[in-house]
Amino acid sequence: MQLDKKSNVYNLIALASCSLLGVANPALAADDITEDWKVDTAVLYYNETDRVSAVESAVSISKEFSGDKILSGKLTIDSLSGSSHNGASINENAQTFTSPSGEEQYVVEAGDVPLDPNFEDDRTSFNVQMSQPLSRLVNVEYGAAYSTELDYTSMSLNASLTRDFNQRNTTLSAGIAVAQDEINPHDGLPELYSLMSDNTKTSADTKNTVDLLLGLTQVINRNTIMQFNYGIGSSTGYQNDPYKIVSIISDATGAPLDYLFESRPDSRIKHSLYWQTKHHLERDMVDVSVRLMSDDWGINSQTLDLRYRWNLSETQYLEPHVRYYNQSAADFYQYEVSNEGLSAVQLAAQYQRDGTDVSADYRLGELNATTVGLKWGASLFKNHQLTTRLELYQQSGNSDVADLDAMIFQVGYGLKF
Amino acid sequence: MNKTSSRKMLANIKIGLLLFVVFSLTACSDLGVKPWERDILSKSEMTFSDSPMDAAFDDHIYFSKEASSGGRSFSGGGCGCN
Repeated sequence: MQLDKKSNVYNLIALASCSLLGVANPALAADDITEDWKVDTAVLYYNETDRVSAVESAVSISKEFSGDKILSGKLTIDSLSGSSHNGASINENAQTFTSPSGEEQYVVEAGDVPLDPNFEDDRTSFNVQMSQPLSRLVNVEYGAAYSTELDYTSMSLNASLTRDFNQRNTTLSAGIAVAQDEINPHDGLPELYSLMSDNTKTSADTKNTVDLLLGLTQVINRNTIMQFNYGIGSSTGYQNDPYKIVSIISDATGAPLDYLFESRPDSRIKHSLYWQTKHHLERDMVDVSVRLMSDDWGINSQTLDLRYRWNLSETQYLEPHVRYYNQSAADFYQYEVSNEGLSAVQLAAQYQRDGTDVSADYRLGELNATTVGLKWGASLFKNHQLTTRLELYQQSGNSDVADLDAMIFQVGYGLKF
Repeated sequence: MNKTSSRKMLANIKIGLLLFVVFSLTACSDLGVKPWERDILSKSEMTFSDSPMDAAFDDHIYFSKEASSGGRSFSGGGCGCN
């Protein structure tokens, strides 16, 4: 009898809380309404000072079916052009380079960053994803993705399981993704350890990637939720950037003798730890995340991301964003290599004999990057959301080739119906 | 160190351990909310995938410009040759 009374009081409090919250918080009421269709569109403009520009457009459509099944698809089209660092070091002499196709030449003035001005690429990618409950507390999600560029094709499959525990306050997840990429430049891949002056090409190559991701999401309290992920990824096969070369510098004169196409290890294992927390301050919201990554190439990186969502009203917000990234260099990264008293041909032969890996791609060197941005979001009508953001991205490393400034501008429009 | 002081130290350690266990358990049991306390957590901004477009664009940019990828989600394949 006493138990019944207690239980009734408990239920009454629960009911009263729900009613009060529902009335006091119109946002909750709006969020509770389930709309079947959801469409998101966005256009991004990315522009590096004196280097690459890109326009990327995406449209994503999802439909919720009975039984909480959600089917979604996304199409992304992007186009890139401009100048990209070719890997060579800055020299006090003017340098002449042959384009990767071997058909064109370009000259870089003394003291300038060697940029290949002919960089151009178009990419189309499509993915489809299905999410559905297996039982009251278990959900499965699986999907496939395909992307194609002028010189690159990637296909991937993914699947993940999530299970809720502890009154849905704890969620564990485990996922796997496999990808197969084919690298097939129009004029072929440069022969391993070949010199730019050789212009010897070989056929297409492939790369296979397997990723495992384990996650824990925990509700901390009414205002705070946390996520922890551990990821391990293994890729084998062709890892080189076929357009990147390494300067061979003469010990005697300091001038470049020739340029060696880069050679990276044919396997890579990456580990990552990721922690994200969202904390609501009743009106505003703080979102902080940290990622630590380490791989067997000797690269260790730390990423810190901080967002503050400043809810100006029920329908508008401003979101300042700061991101900081730092990485150490890969073991085989070298800004340039010395000829060690040999000719360029002899040095290339020695590297080939010893299986020496070398890359002068600044993205594998020591690197710091900072992003500062501001996003504005507004609900124009019921279930219509307009967003726009402007961000500035800045990179620096241990040489001038790593100095890069970029601007990111994006407009997005989403609706549910 | 005499017997009395070592006994006291042992007792202090035991109390310390007990307090640690109690506090840990209390902290764990305090985590989470009741179903009717999810008003704030149910807001779209409190989900971890509230801006999937931004996240996908950012992943593509940073994957192309830095040596790290993944963490939040799968790191995946792709070229990043620019």
